[in-house]
Order: sequence, then C-alpha cells, then structure tokens
Amino acid sequence: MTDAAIPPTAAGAKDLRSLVQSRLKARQAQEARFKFYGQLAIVLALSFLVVLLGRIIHQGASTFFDYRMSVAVYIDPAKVQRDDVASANFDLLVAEAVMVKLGEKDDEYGETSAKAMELLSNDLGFQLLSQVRDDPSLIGKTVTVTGPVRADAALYYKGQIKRSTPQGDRKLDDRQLAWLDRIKSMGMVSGGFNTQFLTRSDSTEPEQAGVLGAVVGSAMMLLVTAVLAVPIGMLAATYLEEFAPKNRWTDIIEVNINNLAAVPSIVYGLLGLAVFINWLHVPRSSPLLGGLVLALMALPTVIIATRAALKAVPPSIREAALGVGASKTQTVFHHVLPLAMPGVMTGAILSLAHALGETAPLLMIGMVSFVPGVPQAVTEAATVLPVQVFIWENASERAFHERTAGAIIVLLIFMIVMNLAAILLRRRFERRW
Amino acid sequence: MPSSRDEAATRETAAIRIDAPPVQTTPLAGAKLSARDVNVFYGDKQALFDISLDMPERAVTSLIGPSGCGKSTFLRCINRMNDTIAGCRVTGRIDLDGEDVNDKGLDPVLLRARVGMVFQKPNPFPKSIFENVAYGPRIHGISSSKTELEGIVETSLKRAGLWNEVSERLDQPGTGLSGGQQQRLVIARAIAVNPEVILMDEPCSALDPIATAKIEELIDELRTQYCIVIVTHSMAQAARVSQKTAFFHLGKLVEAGPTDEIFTNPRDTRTQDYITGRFG
Amino acid sequence: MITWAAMAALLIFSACAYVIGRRRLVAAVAAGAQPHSRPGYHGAYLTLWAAVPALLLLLVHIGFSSRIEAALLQAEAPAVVRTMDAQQQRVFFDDAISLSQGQTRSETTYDAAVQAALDAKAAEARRLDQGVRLTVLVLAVVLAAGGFLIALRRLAPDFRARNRVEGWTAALFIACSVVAVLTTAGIVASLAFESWRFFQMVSPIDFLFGTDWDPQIAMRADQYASKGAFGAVPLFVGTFLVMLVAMVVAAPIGLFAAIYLAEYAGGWTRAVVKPLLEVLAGVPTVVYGFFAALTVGPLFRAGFNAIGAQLIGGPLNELGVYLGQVQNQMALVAGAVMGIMLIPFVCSLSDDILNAVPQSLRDGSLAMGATKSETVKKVVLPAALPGVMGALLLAVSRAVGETMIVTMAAGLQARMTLNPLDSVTTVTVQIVTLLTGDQEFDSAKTLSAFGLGLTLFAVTLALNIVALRIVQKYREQYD
Repeated sequence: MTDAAIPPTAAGAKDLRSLVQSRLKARQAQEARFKFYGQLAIVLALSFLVVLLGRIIHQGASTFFDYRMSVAVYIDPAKVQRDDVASANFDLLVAEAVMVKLGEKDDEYGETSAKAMELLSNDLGFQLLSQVRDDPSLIGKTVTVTGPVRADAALYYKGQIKRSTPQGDRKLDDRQLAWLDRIKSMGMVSGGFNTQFLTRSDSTEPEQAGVLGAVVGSAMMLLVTAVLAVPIGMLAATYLEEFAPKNRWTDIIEVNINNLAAVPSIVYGLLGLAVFINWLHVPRSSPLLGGLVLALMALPTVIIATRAALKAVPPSIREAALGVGASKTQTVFHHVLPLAMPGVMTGAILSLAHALGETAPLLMIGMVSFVPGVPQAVTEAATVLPVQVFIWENASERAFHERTAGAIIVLLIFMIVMNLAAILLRRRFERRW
Repeated sequence: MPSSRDEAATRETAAIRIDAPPVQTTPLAGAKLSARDVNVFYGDKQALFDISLDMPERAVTSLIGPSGCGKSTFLRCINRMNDTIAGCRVTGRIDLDGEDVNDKGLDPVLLRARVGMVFQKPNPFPKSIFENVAYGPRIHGISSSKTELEGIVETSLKRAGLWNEVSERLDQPGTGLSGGQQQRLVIARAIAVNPEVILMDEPCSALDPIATAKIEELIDELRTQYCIVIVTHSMAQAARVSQKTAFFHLGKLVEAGPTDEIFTNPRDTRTQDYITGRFG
Repeated sequence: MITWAAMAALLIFSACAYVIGRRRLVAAVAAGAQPHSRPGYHGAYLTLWAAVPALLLLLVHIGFSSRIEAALLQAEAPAVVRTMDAQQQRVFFDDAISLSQGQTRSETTYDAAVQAALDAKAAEARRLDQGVRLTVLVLAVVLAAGGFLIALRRLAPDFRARNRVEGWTAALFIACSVVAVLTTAGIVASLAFESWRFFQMVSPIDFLFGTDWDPQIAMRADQYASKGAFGAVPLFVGTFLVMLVAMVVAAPIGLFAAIYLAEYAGGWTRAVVKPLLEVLAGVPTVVYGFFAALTVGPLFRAGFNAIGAQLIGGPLNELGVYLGQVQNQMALVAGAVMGIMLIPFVCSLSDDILNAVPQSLRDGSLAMGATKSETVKKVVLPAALPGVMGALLLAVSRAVGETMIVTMAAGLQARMTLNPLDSVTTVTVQIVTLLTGDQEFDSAKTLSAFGLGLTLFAVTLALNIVALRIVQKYREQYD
C-alpha cells in the first residue's frame, strides 16, 4: 500500500455537507420534474386510449339505435298488375301512402313524391314487392310494412342533421324536416335497438347495411388461420425448443422466425397475391385465401409464444420423465406439452386476435369487393370486419361514418372477448414453479 | 458438544465479565454511529428486533452471523437503502453524529453522500474508469473545475490502491477490470466524495483470495480516517480487519464487543457455537 | 365428392389398421412374446403406412388435378376455336369445363359450329375427369393396401415400432419448422420475381433515384414506361416524413412512460397501466386510420385554418394564407396517430430493456447519494442505451411498414416535401392503391407495387436484423 499517506480528497466533512446542501433544492426540483414527465407520459398515453375509444363509441353508439316506420299501404289494383307484379313502383306506393297520411298531394312532376321517397328506405318497397309476388291475392288489400327510415331521416331524428344548418348545406330541406316531425308525432315512427345492423350484410343503402356478412367472413377466415397456424406453429416451436440440434440450420430458422415476426403485414399480402392467387389459383376474396395469408403472418408469433411457454416448464419435469425411461417424444407429448398448454393457448389466442384486426394484407388479395350476402363456404367471396370498416370509411355518405364506428365497436367487442379469454386462461391455469 | 455444566460455567464467567472493563488492544474512539431499538419489517414479517449498537469513529465494526440473520438489512438501514424496497418499514433511531438518519427532514441524498456504500458484487457503472470515480463529485457538485476533478479522481484511485494499475487507461470502461480491481474501483468511487462512514456489504465474497487480501489491506488503511461498518460471512476476515464485532442471529443482536474478546471469549453460547463452526 | 368419400374410407381403413396392429401385438404378448414397443405404437405404425401415402396422393389430386386436366384439354384446340383470340379461347375452355361439371356456362353466344365443338370438348373433359379420378382412386387403394401389407409384414413383437413412429413424428416436426423458412423464401422469391419483371420495363436506377412518381400516366400506351413516371424518391421522402413525425410522438412518450413504469411506479400502478397499454397496442390499425381520417384530420385542419385566419392581413400574411388552405390529409395527422399507435410498442420494449439493467447498478448510484432521476439519466439509461436504440429501430421499422393509417389519412399525392402540413404519400399507400381493384399482371403499373414491396421488405428486414442483433447483444451483456 504505497499510496497510503495520501491526504483526504475534498475538503472536510462539514464542507461536503454544505456543498450537498447548497444544491439539494435544485436537485429535488429536478427529480420532481423528471418524475412528472414520466407521469405525464403515462397520462398522455392513457388519455389517447380514452379519447380514441370514447370517440369511436360516441360516433358509433347511435348505429345500434334506429328509427323504423310502419306504413299501411293500399295495394291499388290499378297500379299493380297481377300478371306483372315486378313492374309496379312499390317505392312510389309507399310514398303515396305516407303522403296521404300527411295530407299532401303529389304535383304533376312527381316532385313531392320524390321528396317523400327520399325519406323512406326502399326496403319498404322491396318488402311489399316480395309479399305481393308470393301472394298475389294481396292486390286490392291493405298491407302494413315495417322498415327503417332513410339514413338521412334517421340522422335528423338522432340530431345529427340540425334544423339550424342553412337549408342549402343539409341533405333534407325544411319541408322534408316538417314531414319527419309530423310522421313522428303521428306515431308512425318508433325508435329501437337496431337488430338489422347485426342481421344484415353490406348494402349500398346505409340504413340497410349490416355487419353479419363481415362477421361470418371474419369467423371463417379466423377458423382457417387457427386450423393452420396453431398446430403448425406449435409443432415447429416444440421441435425447435425440444428436439432440434443446435447447429447452423436451426440458428437460421431461429433468426428467420424472429425477423418474420417483424415483416410488415402488407408484404404478406404481396406474397398471397403472387403465390396463392397467381400461382396456386386459390379463389380471390375468399376467407380461405385470407386465412392462408394470415396463417403465415400469425405463424411466427405463435411459434414465439409457444417457445416461451415451453421454456417456462422446468427441466426437472423432463429429467424426471426421461429418468423413468420415457423416450424424448413421450416426454414431450406426455409431460412437457400438456404443462405448457395454457401458455401456448394464451399465445395462440392473442395472435389470432391480432390477425382478426389485420387489414392491409387483405386489401391485396381482393377482399375489398362489395359483398352483399353472407358467405356460405370458405371458397366464396367474402369480406371481413376490418375491411368492412375500411370500405365504409371510404364511402361518402355521412350515415356510413356512423356505421363504420358501429362496425369498429363490433370488431373491438370480438377482440375484447378474445383477449379476455386469453387472460382468463392465463389466470385459471397459471402455474408457478 | 460441551456438557450443560460447562455451558453454565461459561455463562457464569460471561456474567461476571459484563461488569469487568472491556479489554481492548486498540483504543476505540467515540461512537460515530449509534443505533437504538431498530426494528425492521418487510410487510408483516419482522426482520430485525430491537437492535442497539454503537459503531465507533476511525475503526472497523464488523457484523457477523449466519445467512439471513439480518446483518445486511441492518447495514442498509444506516444509509436508508431500505427506502428503495417496497413494503419495508424501519422504526427506532440510528444517529450519525447525534443526528437521526431516519429524520423526515433529512434528505437521503445528503445522508448517502456522507455514508458511502460498497456492495457484495462489484458494480462499476458501464462508464470509463475516470467517470466512475468522478460520478459522486459530479452529482454533488463537489469540484468546481476539471483540474480539481482530475485531482480528486487521482487521489481517490491512489487511496484505493488502484492508481498504479489504471493510470494509463482511465478512459477505458470500468467493467473491463478484474473482479478485485472492480471492487477497489467501487471503493475509490465511494471515497471520492470523502464520506464520513463507509458501509461494506460482504465486499470480498465474490473475489479470489489474493484480491481479498488486497481489499482487506485497503480497509485497514481506510480505517485511519473513516468509520467503517462491514458485513462479512467470513469470521477470519472479521477477526483480521475489525476492531469491534457484532454477532447477529435470527434478526437479533446477540452480542457485540471488541473483536478480540468476541473471538477469544464470547459471552453467549450461540456466539461461541457460531465462531467455532457449529452452525452458520 | 368421390374424393372426399375416398378420404373418409381411408380414415376408416387406417383406424382398422390401428386396431389390427394393436391386437396382433396384444395377442403375441399373451402368447409369451417380449415386445420392444407398446401395442399403441404397433397400431400407429400400421396406420401411418396405410394412411399417409394414399392421403398425400388424394391431396395432390384435390390441389392439382383440375389444373392438369385443363391443360390437357387446352393442348389440342378444335379448329374453330383456334381462330378465336386468346380471351375468347379462355372463355370457351372455361365454359367447356363448367359444362362438364354440370354447372351453368357463361352467357356468351356461340354459333352452331363452336357450340358443337364446345359440347365435344365438354364430353372430352368429362371423360378425362372420370379417367383421372378413377386412376387416382385405384392408385390410392393400391397405396393404402400396399402400405398396410408392407407394414404388417414388418410387425413382429421385437419390432422397434416406437422408434419408427417417432421417426415419422420427427419428419412432421421438421416439416412444420420448414414452413417458416418457406414463408421467407416465398416472400423473397415472389417479390424478386415480380420485381425482376418490373425492372425489365423500368430501370432500377430510375426507380430508386427518380423524383417523379406518376404511375397513372404510364398506363397510356404512348408513355408506356416513360422515364421518370416511376421514380420512387417522393414515396421514400413521404414515408420518411410520416415515420419521423410518428417517432417524435412515440419515442419521448413511450420512453418516459417506460421509465416511469420501470423506475417509479409501484406494483399497483404497473398492474393497472400495463394492461391498458396492451389494449392500446391491440387496437387494430384500421381503427387508428378511421380515428385519424375522421377525428384528428378535421380537428387539425380546423385548428390550422383558424390560426391561418388570424394571421391573414398581418405581417405573416403568406403563412396565414397557407395555413388557411391546409387539408385534412397531411403527414402530420398520419404521423401523429401512428405515433400514438407506437407508444405501447416503444413503452413495453423499453420497459423490458430497463428492467434488464441490474438492480446493483441502481443501488450503486443511489448509495452514492444520487437521486432517482440522476440514477436513471446517468447510469440506467446509458447502460440501457443499446437496447433502447434497438427498440426504437424496431418501432421505426413498424412505422415504415404500417399501411392502414397512412392509406386512410396521408393522401395520394407524391410530393418531395418535408413539410408535415403537406399531403404526402408513402410506399405502403402506393402498394395498396396500385393493387386494389382489377389488376393486369403485365403492366408496369401493377408490377411497380412489387418493386416497392421489395424495397420495403429490404429496408424493414435490414432494420429488424440490426435492431434484433443489438437487443440480443444487450440482453446477453446482463445475463
């Protein structure tokens, strides 16, 4: 210890104390500031969440409430020919029935009836047509039909089209608004839960558009994704984690999987377009195709989640099984995998939930087409919820914006259900070693 | 295993010795730190029970005892490092020069500037050797100029006995040094602000015998200026470096006194059993 | 239909094979034999041999037979058909196949000669189809029975059935692992192949360094692949600008949130905040796009327009006029919303990385008398810096590849601008625009999307590889 007799460094102890003391206030303020930035960041992030969800709910909640109108229509034999029912203008019949109620007479150019028709959904006329076609004896009788009011009329009832707006700037003129008020006061219109939104598919008319087709399409697509990605991902992860020798090839596979998980989703769309459509001729726009593409996209995340679950199983379990003479395969299938299963399923559900919300690759493979029906098979053209959101967002009618938010709410409910399932699964089966 | 008669005899001698003046080879100065009735709770679990202990100025006090006996917990009370553990509660007083360290008005920053600490595993920051030592002076604003800072770094490294080994590579990362050098770097870092007390929590447990010997030599040097409290699991080390020894067992302070006395003539049978290697 | 029935029959047959294999060993054991494997493995071995080869054949048949048949059918076109143009020929053969399957054909009207040829071709198609189907069925039966018999002959009590069955499972395992590699290969191959075709029409130099992007004009025959129309630099600039805005939002908020969670927050705060951030991370990007297009866009526009109105007539008149004309679709809106989307991503990655910094470093700094913020700024962050950089790079990669938000909120005008109030377009937006709707796979317009895709893939891959490397190195440092 040659350096022993070195004098103390800074000045004496009292000095240190006053030195520290003199800067203490500034340092405490700095500390408080820093902590405040952290809190601010958290508050900001959470308030973004609140604003985002709040705004969607605010915009979309009214979708689930709609106004329906009941009209008694006299099927005038003069206007509806028994042998050619389809040629009659049922929309006009309905409009005239409403005008009679309102005490309005049509002018010679049909302007009044045209204005009245702007308030009524052509669903009413369509219902009349199909009833009369099925039962021509209805001609000459009075039939009551119930259906939604036109989207713009509903927007007025919901207060989204305001009387205070200058007439030229709104879709409906003062006369139409007066009619709507009177129809409502006469009790022809009633508000209620919008079941049609959940039981119908896409339509060019906002008031008739629903999400059923998209929901079924999403379910089919997700089924395809799950059937492909979960078993393949599980087996691949099990192989890599439990069996694979550590060599260059498995290293490449490993790096490859980690990188695949970070490839932009749109690239998978390009892959689907080039390989599945142009080369393998999988039907365009079908849930099968979407499921295939999303399965490839979900595969790396399923593999990563499964490997994490397998890693969490302690080696002692494997050693115990091997110790009593089980083969490697038996050990894995009888002991390790069952123990890792809850973790695997949680990871799988979360990756599927993520796939459910994916949109970009589906645009590449033709799922943006207008599909008015519910798909009957995985090879038929279909649309899915997130793409439905995208399609409606692009529509110019204001009423579609409301429906877009409504479809988002349905989509988010699906995702929340899946995430809750994952959380419950994790809670229920969580093991600690 | 001594017979119960022997045991009774020992206790008798111990009882007599309490009144006798303590036999000390090195005269102990006045108490720098004095703890009174310190209790520590982790949640509902009590870790320390009514510890009262004086730690003298310019001397090494070693805390010994089996693992989990609370000696490290006690050490961490002195510079309030227990504050960083959620659910930890400390009662009682620990006075540093007559000032309670747990006083609400005392900022732990000031306390920790005055009470340096060296940990079990060397923990140099991932910075250069120079920056490691300059860390304390910088955050506390001790040096007013770069030359002064360089001076402080140099003296601190010299006093830690590391200067000759690192003076040529002050700009290289501190994590690149060997384990023993890292621990001396950490000691240099601690003394750079010139604290009044240095706490050491098993400083040699991660080191090889040669590095340990160097650190022990260093502790012996530093003793001339600081109040040092060292936790160690090695009784030989306690015997070598400390002037006062306190024996902890199951969260209680069993016995404390001049090191020579504790090792040659313990009053409590538990102490005796421990230092003769019957448990621990 | 028949194929599916055959599959069902195959399943029943292989189930029987399992029972037979099992029974034989059980009987042999009863007779005093010393078996190597348990009876189930004998059954499984028999099942595999009976089912797998035939099953593979049937799958190939389902996947490819119709295409082979169509090719065979088209190999010799009747004389009347040969005179038609390619489009009409295609319709003709499609119709022939539809008719042969009993489906309705297209509404094309054919004259008598063609109609006769069509009927002949339909009949031929039917014969061909039946022939192929019969062959496949016979082959499947032969494979199933043959496999079963071969396996049955091998089965003996001392046969190492377990090892053989495990060999089959190992093959399945490896096949599954290879899917991931095949995906990458598929991505690279398809992007490279289509891009190759594109680069034969447009020089890569013009594509990568050209500053004029207007694929619509290039559709016209006289300007076909004219120089400059496919210069992607404005797209790169737009992508960069949106990414920059996104990172300006996401990096500080995400990082500070992570610091608070890792260093200050108690268990309770973490337990509440982390799941909420996961919710934010789980919101589909199309929802962010909707939010950007219909909420943030109009809001920002109104705000800037209002500011502009205040400035008009004053010393900043020109700026006021400019702000008054700002549109909904601007880089700032897309970038800001993308930044919100990236906050939880940056936060959770950085949180993991900060948590990996050993507690001993924090203790060392705190014991020196440093405050918590000094500890974070001077010890924890420098130690975590490589990891944090990696996390930010991964976020950049996501921002570059993000599609829906920009598609819905950024716009379509390719501009060389770094002004966040301008409408810009990005690589991903252009890919979507070029590939939605009907596509002609021979035009440079469609193929340019693959050129863009290849560029995007290459850039994000490079970012990911570097970022993952850094993060991994960093983790190893403290393991």
